[in-house]
Amino acid sequence: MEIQQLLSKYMLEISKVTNEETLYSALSGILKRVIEINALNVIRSNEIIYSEPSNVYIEKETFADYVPWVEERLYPTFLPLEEVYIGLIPIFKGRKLLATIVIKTNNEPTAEVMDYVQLLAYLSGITLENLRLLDFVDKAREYFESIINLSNDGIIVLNQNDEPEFINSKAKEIINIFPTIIDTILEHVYIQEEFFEIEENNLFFSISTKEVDLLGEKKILINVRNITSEKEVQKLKEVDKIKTNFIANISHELRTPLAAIKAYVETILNMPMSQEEIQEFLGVVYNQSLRLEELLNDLLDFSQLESHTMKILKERVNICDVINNSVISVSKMAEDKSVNIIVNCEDILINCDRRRIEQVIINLLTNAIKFSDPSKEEKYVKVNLNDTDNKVQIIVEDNGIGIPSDKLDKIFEKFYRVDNELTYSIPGTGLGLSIVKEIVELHGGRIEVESDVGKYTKFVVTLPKE
Amino acid sequence: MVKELISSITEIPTPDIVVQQIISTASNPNTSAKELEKAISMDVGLSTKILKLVNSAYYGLPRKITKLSEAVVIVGFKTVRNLALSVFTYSALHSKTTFIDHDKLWSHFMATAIFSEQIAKDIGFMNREEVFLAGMIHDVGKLALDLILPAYIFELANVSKKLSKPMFMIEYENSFENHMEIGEELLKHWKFPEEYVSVAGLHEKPSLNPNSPYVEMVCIVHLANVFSNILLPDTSLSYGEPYLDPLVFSVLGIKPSRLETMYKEMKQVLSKSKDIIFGGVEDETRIQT
Repeated sequence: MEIQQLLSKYMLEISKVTNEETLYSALSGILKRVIEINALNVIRSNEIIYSEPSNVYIEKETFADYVPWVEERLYPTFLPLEEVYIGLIPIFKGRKLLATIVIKTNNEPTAEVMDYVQLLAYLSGITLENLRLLDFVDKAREYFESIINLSNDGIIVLNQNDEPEFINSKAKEIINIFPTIIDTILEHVYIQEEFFEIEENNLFFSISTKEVDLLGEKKILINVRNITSEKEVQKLKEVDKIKTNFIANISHELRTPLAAIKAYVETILNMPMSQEEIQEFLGVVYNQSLRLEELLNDLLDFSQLESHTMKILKERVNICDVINNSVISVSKMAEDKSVNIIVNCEDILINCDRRRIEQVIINLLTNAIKFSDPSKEEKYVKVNLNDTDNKVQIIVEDNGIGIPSDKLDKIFEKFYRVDNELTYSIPGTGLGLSIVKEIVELHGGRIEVESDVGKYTKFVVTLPKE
Repeated sequence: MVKELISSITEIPTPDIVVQQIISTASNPNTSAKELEKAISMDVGLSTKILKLVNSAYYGLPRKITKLSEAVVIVGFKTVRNLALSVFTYSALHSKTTFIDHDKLWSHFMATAIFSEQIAKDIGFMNREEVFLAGMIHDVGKLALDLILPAYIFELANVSKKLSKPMFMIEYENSFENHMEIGEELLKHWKFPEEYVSVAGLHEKPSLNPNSPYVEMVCIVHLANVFSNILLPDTSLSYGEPYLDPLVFSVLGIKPSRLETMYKEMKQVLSKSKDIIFGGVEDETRIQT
């Protein structure tokens, strides 16, 4: 057979090869064109991995000692036996042996046959190496995928059309609980953001994205990390910091009235004073005691709030009475600050804890007065009562300094003061509104706030009538 | 000048009818082992010499081969042909006593042949038997010079040694024909195929003709020649640091860093092929089997 014909046939056969077995079968077909073959075995690492006809094995003892020699020398060889020749053909690439083909033939090989066999061994080596490389690439891909799947981060790869072409196990979990996450991420990617955080249903995710180019195709790599627990820890740390602030704060708050009481009583004890002066001094002492009591009540309420032991004792109450009583309680303070309290209410009977609701209204009024705007000429607090079917709304609105919009959701948190830094420009424990909220919620109601800095603050307490 | 002498002067041995027969038989694709055996056995001593070589430690056969026809199918037609030609080259080299040590020059021929084959194996070059032969006869120009102008080549070797400068560089500085050109001429005269002629002509400096169709073979033999000069100094009549043509790296697809690994390999190959490099073929008792 002409070498060119042989080669073109070989090339055609090789192009159809998909695995080692078909390669050996093709190679055997080609070898049969140049030499008659009784049997063909393929050895790899001392094991027969292919045989033709199937299950026909050439007697190993006839050639075994030559195998290492051939595999080292990398030339085909033919061993003359009594009647037959055993051909050993190493298949290799570079210096790497890939397999050894053993054939049994009755024909004595000519110089041409040996040349052909050597050529086929070279060409098959390249094909076999490629097959094994493909297999290796496949296995390597699986290997890397299993590594990526082990990651505690979600990893997603989007193709040119922004469709996911790879999603690791963790990312699948995340998509299960947050199916629109890819769209949400893409919104950020479109505006050239690479690192960002997103929130969904109280779950927080930190995202990093990177555009890569694989063989001319643009892809987006996305790393999704669930940082919800980190966020919680962060929150706890903040609470901890606030508690520390609170202790400093409350110590100061307790010390101020106590110092006053101590100083006034000392004066009374050590100085000759008129009855009038003593009366005046005792008035101050009394007021400071009230302040102390108030603080201690706050603390007591707070501890109940923390331990969830606050109890509500409901009774039939005219809510308008409660409002009026509260206004009377703060009238002195309002007068001092020149704040005008305007009440507009009608008699409505509801079921509630009178003392606690009074505490709520007093607290809201006190805040309104405390944070009145000294620069305004007419300072006021309006208290309105709305009657809606089975609910009442108590609206406390002032024209005070207002609350910045970014702090609005925090004012009900324990210990929170908008002026969180220890300035003490306005006294308070920072507990008031959190207690208020707890009381309102224990009643099955809710409290809302709206405000505009420098203009007004409006609290709306909604309580069920029953 | 010398070139013209090559075909006429009687000092130059020609491959005799037996060797020519062997070459043509081995290169005929339809030759059988029996036919090659027949051609070789025309020279009584030749088959024994070839069998000794085949059974040498260099080939490391697991079983001893006693019949030439067996040797042909086991080590291959071309290897047997190469061995027959090495016997001829050896006797050509030893045909006359001159001022130089022919055993040493022979070891340079053989080492270069073996290294060439090893490099070919390393880089995956298929025609390893051809490369072996090319390595063996790359320096036949020196052989011819020694036969025609023994005093000249002896002096050339002395100058090379004194200046510590490769012989071919000194030859280039002279206007006299160099051993590469003379080698080319001799191989043409012996009717060797073109590739061997090219190797003889370019083996000292492959970049003289980077477009040669046989540039791979030229580069392999060039590199083998360098290794041979380093590992077996004082054998090639050339001294000083051997010249390594950078063309080798691009043609053979190797990095300079790989030379160190190759060097170690050559050293290993050398240790197991001492018998055929230093044993020679004339004195059969020196071949260890």
